[in-house]
Amino acid sequence: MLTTAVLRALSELESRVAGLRRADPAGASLEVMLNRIERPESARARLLEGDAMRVWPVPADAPASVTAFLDGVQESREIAWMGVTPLVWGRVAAVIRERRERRLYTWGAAPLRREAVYAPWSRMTQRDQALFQEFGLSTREVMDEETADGTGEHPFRQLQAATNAVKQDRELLENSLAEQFCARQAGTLYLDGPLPRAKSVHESERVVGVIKSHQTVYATGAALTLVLDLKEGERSSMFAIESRHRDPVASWYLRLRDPRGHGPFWGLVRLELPLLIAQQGGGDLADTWSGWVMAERSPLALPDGRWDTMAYGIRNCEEVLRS
Amino acid sequence: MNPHPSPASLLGRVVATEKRPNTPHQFHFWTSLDSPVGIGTIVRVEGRDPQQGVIPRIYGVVTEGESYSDLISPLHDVLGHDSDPERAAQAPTQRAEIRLYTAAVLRQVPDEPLQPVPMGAVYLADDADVEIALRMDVYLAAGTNTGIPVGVYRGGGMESPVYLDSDFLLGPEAAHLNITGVSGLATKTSAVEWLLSSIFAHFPESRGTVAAVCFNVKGPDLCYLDQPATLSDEDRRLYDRMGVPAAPFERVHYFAPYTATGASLNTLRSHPDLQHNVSALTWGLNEVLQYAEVLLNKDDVDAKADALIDFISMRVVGMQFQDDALGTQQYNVKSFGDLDRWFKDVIAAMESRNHESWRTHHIATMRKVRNRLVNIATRCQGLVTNDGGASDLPFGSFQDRSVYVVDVANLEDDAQDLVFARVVSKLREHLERRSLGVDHVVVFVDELNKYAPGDGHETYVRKMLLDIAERGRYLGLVLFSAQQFRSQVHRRVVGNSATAVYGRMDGDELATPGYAVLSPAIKIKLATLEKGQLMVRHPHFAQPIFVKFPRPAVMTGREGSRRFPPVPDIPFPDAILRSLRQLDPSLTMAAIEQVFALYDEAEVLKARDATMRARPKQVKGFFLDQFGRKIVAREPVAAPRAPLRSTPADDPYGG
Repeated sequence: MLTTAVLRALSELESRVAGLRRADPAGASLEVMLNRIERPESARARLLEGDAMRVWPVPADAPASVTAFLDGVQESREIAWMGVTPLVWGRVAAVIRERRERRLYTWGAAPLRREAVYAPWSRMTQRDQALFQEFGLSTREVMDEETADGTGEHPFRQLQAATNAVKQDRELLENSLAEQFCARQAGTLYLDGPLPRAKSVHESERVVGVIKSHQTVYATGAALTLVLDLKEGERSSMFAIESRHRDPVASWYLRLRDPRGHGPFWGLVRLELPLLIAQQGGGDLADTWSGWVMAERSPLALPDGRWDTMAYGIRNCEEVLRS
Repeated sequence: MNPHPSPASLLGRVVATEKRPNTPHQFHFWTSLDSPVGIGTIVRVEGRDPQQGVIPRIYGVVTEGESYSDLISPLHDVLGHDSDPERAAQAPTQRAEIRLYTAAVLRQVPDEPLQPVPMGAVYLADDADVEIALRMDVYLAAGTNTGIPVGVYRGGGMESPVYLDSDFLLGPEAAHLNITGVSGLATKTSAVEWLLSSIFAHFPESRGTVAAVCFNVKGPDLCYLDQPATLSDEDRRLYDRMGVPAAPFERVHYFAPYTATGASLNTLRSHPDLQHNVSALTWGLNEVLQYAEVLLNKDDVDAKADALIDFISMRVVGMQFQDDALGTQQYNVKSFGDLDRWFKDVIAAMESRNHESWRTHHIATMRKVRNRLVNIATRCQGLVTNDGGASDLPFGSFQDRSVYVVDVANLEDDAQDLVFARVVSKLREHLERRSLGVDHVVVFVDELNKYAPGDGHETYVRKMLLDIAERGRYLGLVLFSAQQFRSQVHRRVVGNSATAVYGRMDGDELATPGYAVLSPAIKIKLATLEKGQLMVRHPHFAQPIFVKFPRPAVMTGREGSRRFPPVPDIPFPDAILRSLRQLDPSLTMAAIEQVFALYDEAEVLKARDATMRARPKQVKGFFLDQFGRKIVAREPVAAPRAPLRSTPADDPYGG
């Protein structure tokens, strides 16, 4: 949530910055508002195990071998308008919680945190930006390709661009922490979300990304049916996700909990490993990591509504970042 | 995560929420899971923001603790481990949990403005903090120190002496101490023994002199106060820490009535090696009559009887009495025996003249009062003498730092009440006249619920205890009382005890309304206190404080009974000789044995009592002189023999 300092600064700035109109930051964050209009997609992926998607049982009762959990949070709120340009306050933070003697402690000095006012500052006067900084508000440039050429000036697109910038900053923090962990710390890292871009991460077999949301599904037709029919303790074949936006990764679906009585996505997660590492390790590596992720099913991450797919360590990260 | 933090190390942080806010009298803080904080720990809060240029410091004592995890429902834990506790133990991660403590504010510095406790860092209190927190700095200043050590406060590896203010313990500001605790856990008697040692060692000269009168009401508890205990090194260290000598009391005097036969003293302190400071406690008619009210049943003795008793006290006892109705007979009533004879003559005179009243007193009243008064000597055998002689506490010559133990453990309840009423009344009289010999007297009474019960009819003893509790502090008459169940004692008696001490408590007692102000955690701690631990309330302490005191440096009753076993009943002559040997250890049986053949026991006892009261240099001579010349002149007189009955004339077997 916005701090009192930010609100006070905005109040001061309203009388000094021409055309600045404050907006009510209460209510849902932009992440929640904009996600409502995000479109789901299905995508084909290249199989890495066999010729067709199939079901693989995961070895039962694997020991808990994850030593740390990484998660980041972001929050974006529309706080003011300069004419038709929205100003978005964004806050990002990331933390690694290391497990020692079955208890979780913050790895490193402290969680990484940033906050700033996101806007296309280059289209405003330098004085305005300086005034914001003078009142203790960091500023962060938002450059959206479509708005830069003047074709996409719809305010929602600008809000979306600002939110994307906030997301990038969150990924940067996660990336930075993951890199530091791989460089300095032995042990395995359980990441919430896709693998970050860091080179050291993509050279490590000690990091796994666990994706809980399925806006994009990497299976179609019979393969999709097979994935959605996975039973508790089963995984799909590995496949490759290759995109110009990110480094290639190997991925597979894993059913963490018995879905009976729930929808097909209940308890379903997708795991990511660096592609090269996965190709070297093959199905055994996928089994091993699947077992380790399965071992994190308890304790439950309740009361979080995503508890069917969320590890307790990740919920703990979020609690730390929320505090 | 330091399990033994130094005093300056950070212990926790103050937290407050809308639902659980801090107030001027209470605050909350959290600590690491392995913090040494516990119920009763004293902590210091360093505020963040200055108040009028001063960073506020708040001192508090932990009264409640909570622990919880991020689990919303216990059912979630069950579900998470498939209802298998074994699996729960094997979960790879333990849930985040908190140790959240609630502390009651002991003091805020500065005192004004009094505000809610601010957010801030929490530290363990050290010696200096404890002194400030308990406002002991007010009375521990050099030159004006009136501190009496009551024990050491222990918390988080710290140990700090805790002092009571003698001005609030022994007067004049406030006074009295009450102890509550279950029996058999070395709380009540031990605590009083320790406190008396502490008072004798630390009571400032500027406040005058002090002595103690202890009523031993059961067993041998107080019978060995002059004998040393076997102390552990830890106990000795505590004595050193608090500057109290680890030694028994130097000056102890025991007083006990005689047994019903009157031959030996009715006390468990009867071992020959311990007789040097044991004296008889006996009273005659004069001493008892003014406290007759203690022994007489209110329902039995009405206003008419009261008037007659007053008449006897003022006009008959201890003076020459003559009445036309009694002819020329002169009466000098000094003993219960004399009184009985006087009654007998008066009633006989009335009956012979067929008068129903004498000097406005009805004959029925005369008969009833005679019955009740004369019966006192029987009900209090051993304490009340028939011959009028008295052996009493040394009222008027009490010595500083002395303990006077009155052993009434083997007396009947009535007699115990009489002893208690008279001794305390005499103490009060002397203190009012400043003629006791000391300026302050601590009176220790155990089983207070018996003497000052919260319910039941009004008794003389209860009225007297109420009077001491409410006015004793002005006189220097201080009541140290003890009982198992405080809730059963009269509220005004315990309410006027400025200092209250609690040992291990009974759960049922803690459930009574009087303990409603204590948190559940404090109650649990009270119900499980170890030996030697106490919770103390004192006017200077804003909250109760837990302290540890050392084992008393005096022999316990159990150990004393083993080391100095009481002598069993011995023959009458031996008992008399043993009494006299207290005055002259060289006395032999051969020197006095003739009196046992010549005189009956009553006469011998009278001579013995007279000798013990006079404490002459020539014990043998004085004792024998009590029998006059008869002792050499009279030959033993054989008891007359009844003649044999003659055989009846019609006895078929007769010769």
